[in-house]
Amino acid sequence: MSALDAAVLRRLRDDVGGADALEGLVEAFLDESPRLAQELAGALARADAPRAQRAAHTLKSNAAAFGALELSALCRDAEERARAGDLGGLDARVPALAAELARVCSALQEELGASQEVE
Amino acid sequence: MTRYLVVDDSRTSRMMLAAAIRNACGQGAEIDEAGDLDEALKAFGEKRPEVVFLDMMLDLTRTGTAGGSTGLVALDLILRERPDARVVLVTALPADHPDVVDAVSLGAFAHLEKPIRTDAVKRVLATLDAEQGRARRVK
Repeated sequence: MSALDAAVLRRLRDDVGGADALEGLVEAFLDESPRLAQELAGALARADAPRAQRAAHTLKSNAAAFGALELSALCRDAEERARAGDLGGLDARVPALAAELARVCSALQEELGASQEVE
Repeated sequence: MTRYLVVDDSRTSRMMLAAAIRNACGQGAEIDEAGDLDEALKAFGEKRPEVVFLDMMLDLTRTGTAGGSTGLVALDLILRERPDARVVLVTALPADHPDVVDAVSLGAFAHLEKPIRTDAVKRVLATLDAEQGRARRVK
């Protein structure tokens, strides 16, 4: 299964006004998302459920907008577990979330490279 | 020209919404951005935006005001400062969620559901235009 839903990504490009705007957004996502994943892991280490919930929520929302649907689903699960205080269950799922985030970032970097080659 | 303020602690989300607003109303739109409550209140006072797009999950913990529904706290502070400001709540929650219903009853002008779609932004802006047109006619 692809890390990105191509139709969602095309719709996002149209919604933000074209390839140049999308490029800026992809760069922002690539910069921000690993920090959010670190924030989630750090919050778990401190048993800070509200902070973990917030990091998962933001990553979920951004991932969905880029068509990273599997990542978004993993983040939704993380958010719900944090809200319920199930930090043990959430901790066990962090590696899968990190692996999927790496897959999404790699796919977005490819998209970025492809669009820059077209230019 | 209408001036907008986009408030969200995620830079990606802010950029996405600002781009959708530009796409909906033209490149000439005046859009300022704020990443937390302090920045939002500063920009609100200095730039005097007519419309504020406010993330309902805005992170207040960095400003030492943790707890409660963060978007509602920000909404209250903004409307106390200027009751005629139009605040559009941006959230992944559906319109009938109790927090969204509460926010609308507190004075939020509209609700915009994430992920943001240009069509939805256009609908909100059209509603604002219609309301401002009515207000001008009343005056």
